[in-house]
Amino acid sequence: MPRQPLAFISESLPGVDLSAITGKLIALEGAVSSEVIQQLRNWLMLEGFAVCIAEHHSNASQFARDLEREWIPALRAGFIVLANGYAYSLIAEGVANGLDRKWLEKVMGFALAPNLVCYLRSTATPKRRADALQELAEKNGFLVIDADRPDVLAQIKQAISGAIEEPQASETRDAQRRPSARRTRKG
Amino acid sequence: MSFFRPNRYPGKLIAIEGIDGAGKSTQLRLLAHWLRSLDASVVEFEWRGFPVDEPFTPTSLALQHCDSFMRCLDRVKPALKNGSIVCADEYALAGMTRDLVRGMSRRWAQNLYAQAFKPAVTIYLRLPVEIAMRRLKPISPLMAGMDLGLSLIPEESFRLFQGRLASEYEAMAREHNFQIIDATAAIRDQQLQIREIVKRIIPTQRKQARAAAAASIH
Repeated sequence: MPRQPLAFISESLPGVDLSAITGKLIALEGAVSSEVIQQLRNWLMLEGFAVCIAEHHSNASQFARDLEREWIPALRAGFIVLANGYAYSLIAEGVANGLDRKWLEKVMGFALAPNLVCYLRSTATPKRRADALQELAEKNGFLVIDADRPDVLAQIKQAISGAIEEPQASETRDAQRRPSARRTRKG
Repeated sequence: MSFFRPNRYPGKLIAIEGIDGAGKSTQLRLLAHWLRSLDASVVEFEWRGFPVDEPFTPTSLALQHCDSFMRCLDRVKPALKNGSIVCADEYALAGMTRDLVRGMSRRWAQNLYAQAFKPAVTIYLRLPVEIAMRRLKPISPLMAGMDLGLSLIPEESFRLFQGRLASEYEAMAREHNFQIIDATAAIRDQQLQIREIVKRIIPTQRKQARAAAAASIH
């Protein structure tokens, strides 16, 4: 069986087929500025990639709807979906507001596991939120980037280059390669 | 009710479940009125009457419902703490069954409502779908589950969707110890049965007086 380029974290969305997805999902969590997002978008487009920006929701219901109706179709069409705050930000927000982390992780299990998650760590992030993100980063193997440093953009670009250079999902190639291309999905 | 949280507060939670049109609101209104006449403090758990964000998907709808449920749970917590009776016109199982029928997995849907307190009693109003449909006409798209694409005809969609809900409820009846009421019976007959059930779980004034008297002796 060819491996799918993307998979759900733990729970599939009813009626959503991921088999033909060729795009890449890049999630940026933490201290993400819209300026950084715009620069990344500009850069990727100059590189020739079609880009869809997934804007952050502080509402799981809207997240689910946009995931299913906008981001997955974009991924299916081969876009790079750049998420300005993804499921992990929602979980961290919930944890910071006193909700149970394990419960939230299961609730958000329908989200797709991204090809790359960068956690932009900054001293400006409120502590409880930062702690929750740090825990998620350690558990799920996110790439942690110091967002307070001047070369933050260069670091993200380098990480994204690595993630999108992985062979695109073609059924024949996919079966042979990418043995460990996926990041850790579950702790 | 393995997946619910135990309710450690002195207040009691009463849940009424059933398909749309079973008469839950009617019975609950009568029950609350009677409980208040007994000087009980009654709080209503209302979480399903809000407009749905359109367009929705099964997942987004499930999350929106759960969000509303959790907010409601937070609101009634003080009432449970101070010993009130909380009456829920549909509770966690209502959310769960609707999610299941919309295709969400059982594991996920159960987890979604795992924060809910276990009700002291769950009253299930059992009603054939055909009768429910007659009561509800004209049928709203959401009640008919039109989003599932079961049928383009609202009546047929309602029959299929509510029929699936009913099957889910029936399957849960034993596990969740439903107190089953025949919802085809006269409203008053149903209400009297419901009051009998509720009497078993609420400390009535007489019981309270007895308990107070016993406490004063010791």
